[in-house]
Parts: sequence; structure tokens; C-alpha cells
Amino acid sequence: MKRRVNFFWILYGIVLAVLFLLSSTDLIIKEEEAEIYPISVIVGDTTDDNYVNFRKGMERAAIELNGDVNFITLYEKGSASQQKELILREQEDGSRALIIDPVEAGMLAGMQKETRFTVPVILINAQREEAEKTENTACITFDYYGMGRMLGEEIIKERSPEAAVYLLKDEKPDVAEGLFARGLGDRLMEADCEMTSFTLPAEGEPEQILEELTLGRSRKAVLAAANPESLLMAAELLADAEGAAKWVQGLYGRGNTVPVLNYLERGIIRGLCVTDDFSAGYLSVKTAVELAGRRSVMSSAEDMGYLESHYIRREDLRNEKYEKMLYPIE
Amino acid sequence: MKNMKKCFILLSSLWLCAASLLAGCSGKENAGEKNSIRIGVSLYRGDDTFINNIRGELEKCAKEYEKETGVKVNLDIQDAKGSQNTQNDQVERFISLGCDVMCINPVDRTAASVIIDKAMAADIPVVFFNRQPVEEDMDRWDQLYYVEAAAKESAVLQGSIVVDHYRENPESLDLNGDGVVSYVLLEGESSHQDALIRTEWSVQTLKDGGIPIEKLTGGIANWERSQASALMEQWLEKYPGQIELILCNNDDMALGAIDAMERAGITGISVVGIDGTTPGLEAVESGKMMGTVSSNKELYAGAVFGIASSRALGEEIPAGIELEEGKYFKCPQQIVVKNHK
Repeated sequence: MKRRVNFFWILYGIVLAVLFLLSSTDLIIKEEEAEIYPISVIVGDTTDDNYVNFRKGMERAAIELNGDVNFITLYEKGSASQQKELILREQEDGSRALIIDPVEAGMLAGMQKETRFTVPVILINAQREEAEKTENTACITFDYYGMGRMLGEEIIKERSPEAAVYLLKDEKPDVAEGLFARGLGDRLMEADCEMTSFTLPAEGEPEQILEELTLGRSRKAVLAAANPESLLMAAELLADAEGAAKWVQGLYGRGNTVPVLNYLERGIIRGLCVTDDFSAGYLSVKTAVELAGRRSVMSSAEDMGYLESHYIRREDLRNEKYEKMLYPIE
Repeated sequence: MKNMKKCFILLSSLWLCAASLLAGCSGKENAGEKNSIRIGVSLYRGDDTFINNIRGELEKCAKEYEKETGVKVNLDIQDAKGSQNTQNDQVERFISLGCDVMCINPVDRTAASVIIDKAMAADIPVVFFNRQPVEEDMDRWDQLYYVEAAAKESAVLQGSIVVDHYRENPESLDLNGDGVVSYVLLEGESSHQDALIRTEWSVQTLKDGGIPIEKLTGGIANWERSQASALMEQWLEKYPGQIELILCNNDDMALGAIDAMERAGITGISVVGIDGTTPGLEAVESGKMMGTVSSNKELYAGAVFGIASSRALGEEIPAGIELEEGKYFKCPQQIVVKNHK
């Protein structure tokens, strides 16, 4: 009897030990470990001001697909050498995929001559041709050239014939800006409309800057900004310069940031080319995770299409379709 | 008896195995010299102008630190959008992604204990900022820090802007010449300790400064420009020609009040704010706002980052960051009025 009792206690002890091992360790029942994909995103800017919706999309995808996204900005805007250094550093530090907004066209193809990308690269805001030329690379981008043409079309429709068109650009244009400006210029040229490039000074009296643009107010002007920063600067100038509306027939451009959209709502910006950055961000991380998980080269360049872009006016801001796109809820 | 002994040995070895396994699971690897650190930052609301300014400064600090030391900084900044549950999830994610340290701007200061529990279990130091967890929570662990711009100091400085102005030119505040300055008050969240302290000490400083004051009304605008603007619009209609001063717990609400005044075409009412945000400073410079109290944002963010980076590397807190009681850092502040920054 005593032996039986002892046996029972020993059995009880063993059961307890097994239960403990089951509940507190993964020795017997192994909990499935989700693989986390470290992904580095390297943009060509010093801030993320123009990537707000893009980041929201990335973060959503990262949570859903076990991505660990490290968003990296440069120390100096548009510095190709810094971007190259960061690309190499992130690759060495164990990133499973790189998402790059290249500061220069052809930069990645150039880099491949010197070094080999050991991880998949997803290009954003770049030319598809660049991704097609580069090994292990995908491209999530908008048709910036087409977007420029689309804006040109609207300007031709709306401007009065005597108005001069000024392209407001950055001193160091990035790939997207270059393509957009080329598309706009080509379309305006087809309509025999001349376009003059102009870089807005960082400081100065709004009235004086606009005087310069409108040749001492002797002619009307249409302003088209090739990048969101110039568009915002021009909108601020117009908001501060009373009476400018008489000479500046319209301000157009591209951009999705909240300040830019506010100026569209106030009527200071007449028309805007916008993109679905949330989807672009989501897709770039989704593609990165897929490629990193598969450890394979992107199957073919033909898979890579352009994401849609749109031209909107003030009244379109309350359109449900654009509202969802421009103010995405995470 | 012999069998009993065997069983005892078997059981003991089983327990020993289990214990060593557990120790293996919870033990931390002894890292060599680190060449990268990971800092998780959770903001109570990313659209708060002051917090957004701090976020920008934190990013600058991280870049400068990388350049100076060559240590890679992975700064993971998340917006809790005013939800404590979201913030708790973010903290869990920071822990699962192996953050070395967390910088938390709590949504609800009374709910910090949940974050502290998780951080303590994962042995990850936490630098709280802008919203102070309750003292009992802060005392639970020696790896908890708090960075702030002292609320009482801000309020006293805000009050002194008005007092100085009144002493120089009483008519500019007592617009109707009745000998009393009639004011309205725009307050931050009722659950935020800074809102309560700022309100109390700002008004007290006006009284101590000898200004005859009368409160017309006050309201909670939750630090938000739009809410302050809506409240102010109502008050301008309800108290026509009576409001002479608007005391605001922060710059965003001061700007909201100015928006409402501009819409109503009303000028002459003095507005004071706190924080020294970029739009706030611009409003002071343009003369729309009488003044604001600015904390040194570089220093504020520098303290948050300095504590975080040193803790992440297991180093001593930099000598330039003087901590009170070994855990509190109070950022200095200054008055900003037009042409006198």
C-alpha cells in the first residue's frame, strides 16, 4: 500500500514537471517563431516630411507581415555618396531587403559595377528602366513623366495665352522631380508654350520675389512646382503677398503633404498632382518581405507596373476616393 | 527505499533541467562593444506641435550622434494617436524587436505602470518625457527617467510676461479702462498635470504681480488649435468687447484663439502661450501673440536622447545632463516676446 502511495506521489511529481516544461519552456511544444524581416528604407532627403503617408503604409505592412522597418534619412539632402555608404552599411548590418529612393538616376546600376547587392532592392520614385537594368531589384513607382504631362495638359487648358509658365524647381532635383519637369516641359512645348525654370530663394520678401517672376508685374505668370517643397514655398509666398493673385494666374504642382493640401483647400493652389503614397509604402514593404523570404531574384521586370496618380482641384478634396487616399487612417 | 532514492534523484534532475532551461531563456547575452543601438520612441500624439518639434530634434540628435561616434542609431518613432492601448502595443513591439531602450511620452500618465511592468520584465530602461508618471511608479525601478519642462516655471514665466506688459503700459491690457483686466482661459487636458499647474500658477503670478483681474470664462481645449478656435469663437460672441486677455496653456491653443479673432475681425486682445513652438514663435515675431515661454528644444531632446543612448550602451549618463534624484531632468525655459528672444 505504502509503495503504491509512493508511486502515486512520484507520478504526481513527474506530471507536475512535465506540465511545467510544457507551459514555461518550448522544450516539448515548440511555439512557432515568426520570422522577422529587417528592412532598411533609405531616402534621399534629410527629413520624412514628404513620406508621411508612405511611412503609414510601410508601418501597416510591417505589422501585418513581420517586417522590421528602419527608415533612414540622409545627413545632407541629395548626397549620392552618403546614400551609397548607407546602402552598403545596411546591407552589411543584416538587412534582409533594401527600399531605396535613389537621389540620382542610374545610381544603383553604377553601384552594381563596384559591389554586389546580396539582398533584394526595391526602388521607389525611380525609373522603371533602372530596376530593369539592375539585378535582384523591383520597382514601386509612379509615372512622374506622365504626371508632368498630365499637369501640362491642365495648364494649357486653363492659362490665358499671354501668361508665362515658370517651373519652380530645386537646385538639386531628384529623380522624380527630373522626370516630372521633363514631362511637363515636353507637353508645354507641344503646345508651343515656353517654360522658364526658376529656383525660389530660401529667404526674401514675397512681393519682391513675385515682382521678379512677373517682370515687375508687366506680365501674368503661371507657376508650376516640380517638387512639394517648392510648391509649399510658392504657396506661402502667395499667401503672404497681397495682390499677387492679380499677376499670378495660378499655382500648380505635385505633393500630398498636409500643408500643401491645406493651401489647395484655401484656393491658393489651383491644381495638384497627387499619388497614393500609402499604397506605395505598403506595397514596397510587402514586396521586400516577399523577396527577402523567397531569397530569390525578382522574376521579371514586366511585373512592375506604375501606381496610379491623379490630378485634383479644390472641390475634389471632399471626394471620398481622394479623401481616403490623401488622409489614410492607419 | 532504494527505489524512492532513485525517484528522488530523477525528480531533482528534472527540476534542475527545468531551472537551467529557464535561466537560459531569460538570461541576456553579454554583448561585446556595441556598434549600433535601437531606441523605440512612442509619442502620445504625433500631431501635437510641441511633441512634433521634439521628434524633429530627436532625429537630429540621432544623426549627430551617429556622425560623432560612428555608432548606428535605429530610432523607431511611433505615434500612439492618443490611445493608451495602441501605446501599450507599441511598447510590446519595441520589446519584441529588441530595443535597447524606450523613450515614452505617455498617453495616460496614470497608466505608465503597465509600460513599466513590461520594461522591467524585459530589462529595458525607459525615458519618459512630457507627461510625468506618478511618483510611485517612478520609484519602482532605478532604470526609469523623466524629462520635462517644469510646468510651474512655465506658468510663472507666462504670468510674468503679462505682469511686465501691464506695468509698462496698463492701457494695452485694460482696454475698456475699467481698472480690471478681464481674461479667458484655454486649458489643456484635465488629466494632464501640466494643464492644472500651468493654470494655477499663471493666474497666481498675475495676482502676485498686482494686476486686478477678473475671469470671464475658461474651457478645456485639450491642447488643440481647432478646439481652442471653436471655444474662442463662442466666447467672442458671448462677451463682445469684454475680453482683454487670453491665457493659454500652450501655443497651439493660443494660435487657435488668434484664428478665431482673425475670423471675427477682432484685434487688440492680448494672447499668451507656452511651449515656444515654431508657429508660436512666428506669431510672437509677427505681433499676433504677446509672448510665449520657450523651453530649449535642443536641450530637451538632447537630454532624452543622451539618457537613452547612454543607457542603451550601458554607460553613465553624460555629465552635461544633471539629474535630480538620479532620474528627473528639468529643461530650462525662457520668455519670448517680440524683439526680445
